[in-house]
Amino acid sequence: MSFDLSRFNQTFFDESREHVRTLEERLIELDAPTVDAELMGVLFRAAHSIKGSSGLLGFEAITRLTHAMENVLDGLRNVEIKPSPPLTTLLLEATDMLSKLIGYAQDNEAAPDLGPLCARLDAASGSNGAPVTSTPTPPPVAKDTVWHVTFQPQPEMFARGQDPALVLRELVSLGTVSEVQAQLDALPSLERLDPERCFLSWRVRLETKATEAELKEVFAFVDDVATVLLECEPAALPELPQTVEAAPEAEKPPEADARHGEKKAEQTLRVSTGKVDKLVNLVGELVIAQAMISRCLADFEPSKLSTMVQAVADLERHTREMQDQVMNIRMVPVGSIFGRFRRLVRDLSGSLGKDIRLELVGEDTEMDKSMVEHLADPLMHLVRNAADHGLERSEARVAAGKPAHGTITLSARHQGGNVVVDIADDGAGLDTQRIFDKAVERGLLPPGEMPSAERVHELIFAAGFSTANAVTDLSGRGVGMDVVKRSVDGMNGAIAISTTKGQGTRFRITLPLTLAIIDGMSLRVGQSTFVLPLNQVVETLPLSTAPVKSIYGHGEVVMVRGDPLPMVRLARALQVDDEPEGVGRPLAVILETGDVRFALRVDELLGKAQFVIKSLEPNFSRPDGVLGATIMGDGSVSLILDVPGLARLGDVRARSDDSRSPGFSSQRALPEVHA
Amino acid sequence: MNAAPSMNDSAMGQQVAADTRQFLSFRVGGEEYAIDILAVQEIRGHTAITALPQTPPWVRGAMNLRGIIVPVFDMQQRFGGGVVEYNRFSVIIVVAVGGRNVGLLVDAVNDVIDLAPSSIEPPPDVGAAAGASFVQGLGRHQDRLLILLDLKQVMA
Repeated sequence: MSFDLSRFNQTFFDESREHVRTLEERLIELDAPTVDAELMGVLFRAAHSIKGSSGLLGFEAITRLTHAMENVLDGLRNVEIKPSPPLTTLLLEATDMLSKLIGYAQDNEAAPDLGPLCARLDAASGSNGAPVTSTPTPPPVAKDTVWHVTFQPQPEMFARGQDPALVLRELVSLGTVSEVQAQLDALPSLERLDPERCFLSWRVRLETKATEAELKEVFAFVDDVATVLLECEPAALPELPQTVEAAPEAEKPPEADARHGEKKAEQTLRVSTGKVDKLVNLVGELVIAQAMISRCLADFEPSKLSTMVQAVADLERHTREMQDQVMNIRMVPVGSIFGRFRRLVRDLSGSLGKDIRLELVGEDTEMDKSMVEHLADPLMHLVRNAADHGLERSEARVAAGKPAHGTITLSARHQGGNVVVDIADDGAGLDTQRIFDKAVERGLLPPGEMPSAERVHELIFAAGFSTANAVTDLSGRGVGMDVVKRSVDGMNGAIAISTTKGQGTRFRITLPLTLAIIDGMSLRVGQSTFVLPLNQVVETLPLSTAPVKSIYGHGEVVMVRGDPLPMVRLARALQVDDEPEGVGRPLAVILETGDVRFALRVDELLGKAQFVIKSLEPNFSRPDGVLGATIMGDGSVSLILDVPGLARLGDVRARSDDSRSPGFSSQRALPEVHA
Repeated sequence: MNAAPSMNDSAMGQQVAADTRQFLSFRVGGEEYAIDILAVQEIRGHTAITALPQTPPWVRGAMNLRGIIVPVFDMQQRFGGGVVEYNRFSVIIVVAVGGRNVGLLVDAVNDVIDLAPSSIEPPPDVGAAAGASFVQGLGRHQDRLLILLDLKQVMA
């Protein structure tokens, strides 16, 4: 009976990734002047755990690498090796490789050559005084392992100055040899025998405590002139005797890989048992409440109405609690991505030649898992930008009377129903004049008087905008900020800049707690009900107080406190049948997305509420201008409007500097005028 | 209200041959059509339909099927005809093909019928007439002639 270990693979990958993250985040602390024992314990355990599980599951490359890392970490822990920045870099490099190896194992791909990296790790653990005897076999494999070693030198071996006998002798020194077979098949007849060529090969049965890596070391010098095959005799693994006999080691990996390959890339979420328990309790309560209602309804009479009302109220309360709990399950601390920036900043410090420190605040702030993942890329851009453009070189900082090291602060906190993430640097701040000059040069702003600083700063979010003097491999190519802006918009969030010259820049990203539910405003246009995301609604005003003007070739504008704002009619923008716009008192809802501001004409506001976003996919492709759909209290479907999409459909473009002219795009309209 | 079609009626009469397929027949604009019963998920009565922007005229809108948003196709318009009148007697057949759910708005649902391969004929060659590609074949059942639809084409 074969015991299938491959079903543990997914768990192993998840756990290993967690350990790798720990390594990545905490290894950087080795750079600190004093290293505490607790840190070393954490690091060592992380490497050791991966090694243990990978060995059991047969991911040899991972085992080999973690073994080498473990040796170094053990040396550090026992104060036999002294920590140094190059050593940290080496360990980080190994962590990167480890992360790749896990990916390869998951995708069923062959691992790259680990030789050089392991050799460097071994050198680090060996040369710095770690006793060689402390490195051998891990404790669980105390018994001798039986290896079948096939050693087949190429005929040219002698010409390369290598002696098979020496190699065999060294091999023998590792353990007890119970059997040696010389393979004579390739041996030519005597008259054809070239004494300077080797025609023999050997097969050795060796009982040893040495690990595979140590066995391979024996052949290290003849690697290129001989074929070496190491096979572990299965019966030697004491823990799982029957298992492995049934599936000999040599055949196991492909078999296991094929099986796990079918169900790769499955997304998982690790949830604390406490959260699940709470949910189970709530489901129990729900069932009870539902039973109460059913019983009440079975023989209903007016006197039971109050019981009924109570039961429905209970049901409602439990439903809401359950909604909160389910959302809670998807919540993960934002620190899970903050951690990786320590590494980024350390690398950036090195490559930019600036002394940069990273401060993390509020890593425990929880937000929806998918949001956290979506947030990683924008944050990466912003941190890089801060390091590359924001912070000055040390000399310039000292000259400006600031500390020589620059600081980037990443912070997260809850504020109302939102998560606020700040990325701040204490660098030079945005150069308003330079951005303005650049914008004029690129035709984004008309030359002349500079508009307000905020307006100018927002231009850095325009596509392809860069003020960097030099394009570095990090940033300055002008891609980035517009991507950041777009990803934040995509999460129904907002991004704002505040900057003080000489003191720094802060980007503030405000995001809803989850992607699945939005705060919205429901409204009626004609006969249909729509929902607008509340965070993009600036204000609403009755059209009776705001005159609407038609501008030939430019559509309609509504005058808001003397300023014209382009007005979009929903029926026209969405190209649905022109439903009769209701009588009564139409309103203008002022919407803002990024640098676009416009008014939407609606017939009635129905109220604010939370709406569950339902995707139209896969049953239908998402129409432009529509974010998704939601189900209203009466069971009908309403569309949630996508404000940037509406702006595109309504042909509203970014507000230009000349606020006197309405922001309609003129590309389409003007030719008609001239014709 | 879900009026699940009863399959017993047809199974009771004659012995059902192994390769006989069951079809759900329905009426659109005076013609009788039929689709493979295995594609039918459920049949629904009048449901609120919300118009979807930027869609072809035969997409009447979207409906709520227990929390899933399902588009509703007006079959008469899909076949190039007029508009199916939508009132409280209207019927929507929810079908699932290739992982997608679509509601088909029809005039009325008739019954479930068994068709042996011998009573299915290839579609007549009518050239590029509107809707010709939707026709998978013609089914003969007693004195009725049913147009068998290729749902993949209808939903394309």
